[in-house]
Amino acid sequence: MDVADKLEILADAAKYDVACTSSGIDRSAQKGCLGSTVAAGCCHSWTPDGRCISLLKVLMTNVCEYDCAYCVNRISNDHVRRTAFTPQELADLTMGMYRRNYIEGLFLSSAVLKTPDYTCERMIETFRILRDSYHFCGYIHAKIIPGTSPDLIDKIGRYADRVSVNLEMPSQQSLKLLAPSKTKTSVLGPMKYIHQEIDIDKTKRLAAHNSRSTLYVSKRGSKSMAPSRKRAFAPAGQSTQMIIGASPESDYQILNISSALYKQYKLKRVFFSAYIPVVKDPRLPQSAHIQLDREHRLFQADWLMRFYGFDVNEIVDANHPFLDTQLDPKAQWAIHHLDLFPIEINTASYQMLLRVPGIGVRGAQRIIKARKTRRLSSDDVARIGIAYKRARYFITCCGNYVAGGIDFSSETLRSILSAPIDGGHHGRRAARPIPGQQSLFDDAASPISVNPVKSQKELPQTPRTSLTLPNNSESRHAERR
Amino acid sequence: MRRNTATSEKIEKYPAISAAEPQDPVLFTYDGSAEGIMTCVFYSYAHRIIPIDIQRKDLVQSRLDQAIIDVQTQIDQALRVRKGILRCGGKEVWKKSLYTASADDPRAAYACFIFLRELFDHTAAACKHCKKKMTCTKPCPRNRGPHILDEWSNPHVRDALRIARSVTIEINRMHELMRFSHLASDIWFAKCNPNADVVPFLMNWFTPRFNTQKFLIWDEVHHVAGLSENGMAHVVKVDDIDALISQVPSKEEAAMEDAWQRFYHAVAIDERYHPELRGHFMPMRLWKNITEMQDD
Repeated sequence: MDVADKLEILADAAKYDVACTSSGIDRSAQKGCLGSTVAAGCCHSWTPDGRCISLLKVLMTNVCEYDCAYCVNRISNDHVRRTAFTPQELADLTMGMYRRNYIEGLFLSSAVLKTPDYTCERMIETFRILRDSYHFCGYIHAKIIPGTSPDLIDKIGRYADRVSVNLEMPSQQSLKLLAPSKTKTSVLGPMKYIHQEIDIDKTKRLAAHNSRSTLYVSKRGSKSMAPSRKRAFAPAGQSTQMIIGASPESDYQILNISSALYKQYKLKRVFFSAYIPVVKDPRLPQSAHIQLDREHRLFQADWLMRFYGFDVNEIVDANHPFLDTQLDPKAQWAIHHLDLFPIEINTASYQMLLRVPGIGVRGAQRIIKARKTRRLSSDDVARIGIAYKRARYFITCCGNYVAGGIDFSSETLRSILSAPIDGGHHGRRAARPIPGQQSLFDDAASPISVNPVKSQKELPQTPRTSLTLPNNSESRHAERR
Repeated sequence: MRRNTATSEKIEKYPAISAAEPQDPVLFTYDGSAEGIMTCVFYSYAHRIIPIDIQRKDLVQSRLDQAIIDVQTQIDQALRVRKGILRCGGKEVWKKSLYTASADDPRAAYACFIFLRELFDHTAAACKHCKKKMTCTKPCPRNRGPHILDEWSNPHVRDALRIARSVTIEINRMHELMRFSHLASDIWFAKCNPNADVVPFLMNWFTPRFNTQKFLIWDEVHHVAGLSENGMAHVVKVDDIDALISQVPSKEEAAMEDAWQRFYHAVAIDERYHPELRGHFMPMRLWKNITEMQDD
């Protein structure tokens, strides 16, 4: 079996891992070293399913001792060809692909060959060749196997830019049921250790930097004050991944766990992966349905928590534990809080602008900057680079409500803003009924029978005078401030 | 007294259009380069003419009611405009202006011109009552300077910024989708077909990143080649790349391309198939130079 065959097998085995980002660290190029990294990350290709390829995402080996129910590499699956890279093969392959600008770096995960420590040692050898022998300065993402010793985690963290430990299941019960070889401690232990190491490393480096900046010339060069030549520990932080749909947990539980992980372990990112049935097991859902829409909404909710200042309890609650697949979480929040809208675009705070459906981080920043020089009219706002068609229902410009003629009620706004997630025209999600499309099998009296959501034109239009605003928006906003 | 002499010299050097000439709307033509657009800006101020449009010389269609002025690119004049932009707006405004001027969009030249007039005119207005009389060496807090980039609601600014943004996106695409192949002569060669003249900007990215290897980037649309060796970059205009370099691949090239294509197809998940999404991120016009897309 040549290296290309191994690559094909081990890339196929690694493809269900969602994380493929090369973000979180800016490292400029150095003379004599190959590569650099940028904090925003850089994607180098896109697969036919639209996911980006940023890193060479492979397993070190797909020979596994564990028998996790959901995993294609489980020991009891006899339908998979098994192989393993040698560290030298993988390092050479990474360098060859990086030089051709195919990839931004290496994403290395692995099945459990013999023991977690034995597998990690082979991974470390690969990283050592890349970093020390080839002077590779590109991005490295290392997946830590639950149960790895702390000293090996420390070595991996010194070579890799980002490390991650997969949480796999959102609850301890599901983990016990579907991945009996893994335990809560074996997953959260490394996560906690990585968090502590990152914190300690940052503190040490900050202290060294501060002491360097106040050094006197006579003290320079003394051993105690010499800058540390040790690499930073996982400078791009840590992330994790959960499988969605293989166990019965609700979105409320999943988002609460994500929120706790962000707060407790300062994770950079929690990824969600819709469960795709690849092996048969009575413990798994027997339906062929893949919860891609749910995964999409969870990513949106996660974005709201990380960049828009939303708390998890504002997005879902125990009474409504699942996100609405017809409506994005931000629009859903806005519809449930109509008493806060519409807001005046010329006076609203940045935090409030961020909560308007259709206004993102960049749009809110542009509005804040643009209104320093002039009062923004509806025309100005429409051209400033926001999703104005969505935002106009929730804003006033110079005191004028710009979406006049619309009943300002949750039912109306919900029907206007709701839209199914675009799943494309070719894949599994392409067979959805299109709202408003007529069919030979429809009842002539009710042509729109496939989707209860009515388009804006079909809704009863209310005259402008019937606009049911709760009270004057500007005065209410002033009160809030 | 000195100022009066300088002004009279300037009027002699750059005469305004006399009243005897027909007062038709004026259209500038230029050679398609960023320096050409900067020269047009200089010409406009020097001769006190505001054109209704600026077009590339080879694309212009003359009309009966238009006077066409062909502006010859002058590097020294373009550099004076650059100096003015840096003084009035700072580095970021210069960067955006250069990006706008590098776009292939036929509206780009005029958008860049209007944007720069907006910048200079407001600077002049702000400096009118200032004691320093536009002699500042740094951007002045009294005029808008770099804050002009925040004025997305100003149509004169917005058009230029939109074009600059499209060029930024194209540069990022080239960072991502450039594919190098190893030649037998130990040079790494990449071919691209961007919709803006972005090779000079790409060299700033690839030269430090690949400082251990000699490489050449060839823009087959704009006929521009960027060469890098030992961390030094050069950009040259070349009509025929075959005359410059022999494109015989090295021994391991075919095996590596095959491995990459197999990897690309292996990581796709059939259950998530969504080609429209891929097309959104990876436009079809660029596929011909992307290794993994040669089968599609």
